[in-house]
Amino acid sequence: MSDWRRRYRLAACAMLIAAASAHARPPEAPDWEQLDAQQQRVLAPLSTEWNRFSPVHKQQLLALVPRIEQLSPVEKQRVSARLRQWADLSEEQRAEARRRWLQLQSLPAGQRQQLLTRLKMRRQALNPTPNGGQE
Amino acid sequence: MASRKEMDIVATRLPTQAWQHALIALGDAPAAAAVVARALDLLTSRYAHAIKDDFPRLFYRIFLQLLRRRQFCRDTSRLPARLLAALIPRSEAQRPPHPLELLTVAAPGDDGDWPRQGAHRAALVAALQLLPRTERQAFLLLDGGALDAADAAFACGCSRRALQRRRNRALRTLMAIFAAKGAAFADEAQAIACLVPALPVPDSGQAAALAAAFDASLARLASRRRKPQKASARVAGWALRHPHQQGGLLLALLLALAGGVIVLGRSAPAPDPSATDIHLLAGDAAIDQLLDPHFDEARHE
Repeated sequence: MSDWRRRYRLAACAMLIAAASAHARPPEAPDWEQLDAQQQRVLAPLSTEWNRFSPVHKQQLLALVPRIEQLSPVEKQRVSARLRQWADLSEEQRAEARRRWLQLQSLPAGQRQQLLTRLKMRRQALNPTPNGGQE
Repeated sequence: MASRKEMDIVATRLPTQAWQHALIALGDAPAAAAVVARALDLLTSRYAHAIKDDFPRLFYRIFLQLLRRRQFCRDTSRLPARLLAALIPRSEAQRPPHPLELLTVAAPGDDGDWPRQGAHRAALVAALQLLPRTERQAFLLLDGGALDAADAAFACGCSRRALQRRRNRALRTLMAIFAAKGAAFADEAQAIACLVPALPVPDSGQAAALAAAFDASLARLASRRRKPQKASARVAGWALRHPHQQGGLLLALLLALAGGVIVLGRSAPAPDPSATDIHLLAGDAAIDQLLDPHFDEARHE
């Protein structure tokens, strides 16, 4: 019986070590040249800054590529226009933007539109440029 | 807890009752004796520090745990053969008859000879083997006489009421089986008076070996009782002495785990941030709007 216990303990330790090593493995951080053609095309707005991004950040951006491919042309254009600004945000800012976006999605469509209009007007009042800092 | 005299009575009955229990569960006399001896050995070697004056019930608790483990190992080792056998089609005629089909049981009389007849003893063993484990355990513990109701409940890790309920169910089932075989008992008292003495008894050699093992373990216990060295031994001793609290602790741990999972699930971020990110980037809200310092204020307007 003690033999079995010892074997169970050894197996549990081995599994823990394997899980920890798998978890601790650093994410891959490919350079711009190592990206395939599709990735380079989608992430083109970030080409000049790509190599200075952290591995985690690179992985987050690479995870977007297959999803971007499935968007409509209008949405692709929006993403392309915002990608640079998104990549320049800090992790905290991105988390805050995600949180607020989720809050926005929880509102009914009418209220959501009202809120966006209010924010736009407020921004225009503070910064009266022709475009109001839309993008 | 028990006086010296009571302890002596227990010492004579306890190993025999455990042996009966193991024999009915395993169907093999040497294996039954080995389980009893192993339980005694385990109790005195590993849990010596946990024993005060409650040797019988601690012994029975360990014994039942060992017995369950032995049954599990036996059933597991037989599983492949049983699965393979199930693949071979067999006609009803090839199926070996159950012992209860072959045994002839007489109606109980007033001479008191009923329990001593071999067929009745074999029929009782076969009927007990048909019972669920917990009910068989309750019947053997409460009617065996080696432990009182409180100790028996402790050994099983259940309440006295639950144990009594299982034992009543077991007795009613046994009475129904014997009634179907033509031995109808007048009432429960007569059933107990006939059935309990009909339980198998070890032959003189086995009885002597069991008694010797029991005496040896008591002697070893007297010489080896000491404080446990390891924390794990102390925890094992506590678990042995507190079966009910052990269940409560396990339940509390499970509840805490479930609560933790719920709390973590609520506080965890979105499962796939890239899914949120892509909708955010492709949506009608600009990043500047989302990061506007007056966002919360505007939301509550």
